[in-house]
Amino acid sequence: MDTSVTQKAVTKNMSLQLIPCFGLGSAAGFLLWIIFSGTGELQQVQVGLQRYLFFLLPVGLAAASVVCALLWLAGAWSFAVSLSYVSCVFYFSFLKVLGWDFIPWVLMAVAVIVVFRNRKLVIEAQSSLLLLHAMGSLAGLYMAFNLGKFLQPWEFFMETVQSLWLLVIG
Amino acid sequence: MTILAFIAVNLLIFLSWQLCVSVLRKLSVSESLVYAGLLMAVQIVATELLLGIIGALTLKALLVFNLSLSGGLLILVLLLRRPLAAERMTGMGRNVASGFPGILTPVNAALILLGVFLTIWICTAAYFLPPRGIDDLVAHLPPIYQYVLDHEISLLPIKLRDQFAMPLNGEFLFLWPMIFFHADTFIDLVQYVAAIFGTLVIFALARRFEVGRNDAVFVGLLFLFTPLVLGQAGSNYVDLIVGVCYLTLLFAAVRFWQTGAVFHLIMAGIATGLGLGIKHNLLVAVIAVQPVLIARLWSDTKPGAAIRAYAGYFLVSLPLCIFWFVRNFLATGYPLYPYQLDLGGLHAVKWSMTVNSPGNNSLSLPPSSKALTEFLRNPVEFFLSYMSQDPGLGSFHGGFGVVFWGLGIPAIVFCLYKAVQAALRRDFFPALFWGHVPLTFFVYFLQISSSRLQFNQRLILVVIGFGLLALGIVLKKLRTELPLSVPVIRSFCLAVSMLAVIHLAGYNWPSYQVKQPVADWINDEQTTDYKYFAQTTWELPLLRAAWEPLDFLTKTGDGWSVYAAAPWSLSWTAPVFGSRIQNQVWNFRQDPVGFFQQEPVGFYQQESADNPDAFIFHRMNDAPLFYLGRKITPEHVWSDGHFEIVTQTPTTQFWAKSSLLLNPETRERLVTWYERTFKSDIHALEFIVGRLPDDGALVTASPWGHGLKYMSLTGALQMPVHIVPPGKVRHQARRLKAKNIITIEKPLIGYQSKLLVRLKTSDKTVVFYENRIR
Repeated sequence: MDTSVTQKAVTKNMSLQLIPCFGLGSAAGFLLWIIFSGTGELQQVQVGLQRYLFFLLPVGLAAASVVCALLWLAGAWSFAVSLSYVSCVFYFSFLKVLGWDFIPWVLMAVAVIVVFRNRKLVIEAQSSLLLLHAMGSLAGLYMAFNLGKFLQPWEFFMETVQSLWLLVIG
Repeated sequence: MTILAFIAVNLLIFLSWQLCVSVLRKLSVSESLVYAGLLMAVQIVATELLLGIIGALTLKALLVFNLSLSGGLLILVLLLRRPLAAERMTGMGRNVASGFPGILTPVNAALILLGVFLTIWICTAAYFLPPRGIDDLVAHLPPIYQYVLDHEISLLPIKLRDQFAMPLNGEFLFLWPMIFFHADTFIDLVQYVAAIFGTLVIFALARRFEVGRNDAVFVGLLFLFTPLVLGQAGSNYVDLIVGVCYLTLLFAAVRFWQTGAVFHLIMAGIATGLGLGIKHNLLVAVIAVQPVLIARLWSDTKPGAAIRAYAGYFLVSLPLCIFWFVRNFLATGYPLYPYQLDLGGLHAVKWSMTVNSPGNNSLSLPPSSKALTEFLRNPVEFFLSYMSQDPGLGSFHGGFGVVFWGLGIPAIVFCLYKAVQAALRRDFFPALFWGHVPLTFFVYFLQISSSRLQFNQRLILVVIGFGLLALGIVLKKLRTELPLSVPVIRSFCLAVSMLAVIHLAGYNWPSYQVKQPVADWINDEQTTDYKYFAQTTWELPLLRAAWEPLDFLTKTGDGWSVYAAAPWSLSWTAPVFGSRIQNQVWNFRQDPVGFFQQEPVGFYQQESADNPDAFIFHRMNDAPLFYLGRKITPEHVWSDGHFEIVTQTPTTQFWAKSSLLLNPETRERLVTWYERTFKSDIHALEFIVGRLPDDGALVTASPWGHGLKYMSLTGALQMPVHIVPPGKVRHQARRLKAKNIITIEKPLIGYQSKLLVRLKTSDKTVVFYENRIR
């Protein structure tokens, strides 16, 4: 009996932390991809399956995240956790399509660290978790649509830096 | 040296107000800085307004007035309250010194470094590039250019642009560096300074909401790296100034609510007056702020005292905006021209766009096409589309960025939720404050078509400030409940801020590209800032063909009086004034009132002393030319015979008085301009110039005429070169009565012609003909 209650509590705590972690993870994943990916990579994604995956999966992730949050609020912890994992797998696949295999592992590491360092979670944190989740999902969704626009002028930016440097050195 | 003097004058004004408000009331550092900034802007605007009204708007008068005012204020404070001033300033200094290490976290330090880089970039762009936002050239700058030339405030012809009748407090901030340097060099920095001030106001607001100093600095700095703020910062639109003024008004209102001190109410009144004199859309903000002020007055003051205090607020706000409303009422019958405010909302009354471009009136939309209708029809779809498209991203029109849409929106929703909870406990302040966000969106969606969202997001720029403030409040909460999430969010924001700065390099509205100007500066190939209209959008690259030589030729000397005519949609007058504000727009002189009444259209009077020195004609797709003042056509100028074409393209003609071009200095500048602009043509022509005869004249409407003109002016070609409008080669040949006429591409009919030389270039062959009278 005691074991069952403890197990349930652990599952609950894990779910409480995993959901926002994946929400934030989506944002963090985009962030890392921004940092490490090549210039204008979004534009280079061919029309077809890759592009479909590129745009659709983050949207799917965000939608799944919303469902997760609702389930989590309703107390259906196990469903929420499962869906989060599904989202995560989709997300990982999406990143692998782009050839950046290490990013999922970074995401995973971040999630694991957060879970283990912050195990004792009080129920008052619910609204914060929900807030984090919404932030991660919306930020991820926004970046899915607009990342290319931000990356596109990389060459112009480097030209600007070079010009400013020329001015500085005389 | 002038730059140092300008900085010193600004510092004096700012410090005098900072000392003054610090002595008047015990304030925090951020409060005193916000109010000093507000009062500095007010002093600049008010002195310009006053001097402009009495016709004494000169640099000398402005400096004397402002230095006396600030110097006097400084001396007065030091004489009367020296110990208190010293104590307060020392206390502030101690606060800053003790608080500084706490805010210098890695993320904040990185944002500050990014800000330093951005500042260098934007200053360089402002120095090298011309004012290039389209509304800058159309409406915001021509009135203040005219004021500087006339030393008084006047109303430019509103039949050309209704916006000339808009209140101009914001533009008066552009006028400040412009009148100081008598050039447009630094006016593109004014909105950037407003953005930096905006970071301060958001910091101060966040502190009033008990956000930690570290996070308050963080959210304040994020304001600077919002895509829309970055786009606006280099333009002469006034939306950034309006947004920051709105935030300052809110700050004063918040402080009034929190303290009940009349001092803050007066500051709110000053911000109200300044804002209403910048743009009409601040009216919504002012109305929305009134419940905060009235509720606070009502809560713990006797009715008589409350009415007196409120009347004081109202009276303080009047001097800074009343002039524009009275002038418009007297001139047009509508104080808010070109709008009319009634119970049904804001309506366009009369405006030149309605007259000159029927069917383009976005304020008279049918209800079905308004964004509000679409929002109510399907809120989720509308929101997702609105967010993912981020209308106007990459321009000064819009782009709230991922920090707003991803983090700010959930944070605002959270703050609204908390505000409703507080209202249920009868604490109405949070609801009155955060209610501004839905109200702003509601009024905006009510007025704007969803298809126009991408051009108008700038009108509600203030919501970015609300989003950042809400983010600060959420960070405060997360620090206690989920502390590990804070560094993740802050790092994410830092990364997207860096992305936003990278993104700025790709902006076209306006362009921040400095590669070409820097290269020209290093290689000594500069002509004028207007050359870099080439890297902008709209028709500016085409129209610069006239503006660039005009500016280059008139940079020294007293400037010219220039007649300009173009299709109405291209009647952009600011560049005609020149980068040193050296030229007059002749049309404005001849049509100083310009309302909608029918007026006689005169014709060009030959030999008149008031005739223009130069003419600029723009054409586009056979659209009819819009004539302001008298109707003078290219045909009239051609017939006159006293003018010659300096440059000509399929869209543009620039004529200058021949006698002016004979001036040795002007001639020298003309040679330099041709040399730097048509370098490749000149290089190609060097191979054939020896084969052209020494007698006769060369007459052409070809673009090669510019290079040939250069060769003629430098003596490399012995014969004179006449650039003429298309179809006028034969007429010019007859007018010259020369025995030998050289033409390009076609022989002259009625002459004995022979092929003289072929010039082969990479893409075509140019043929020169010799035409002799039979």
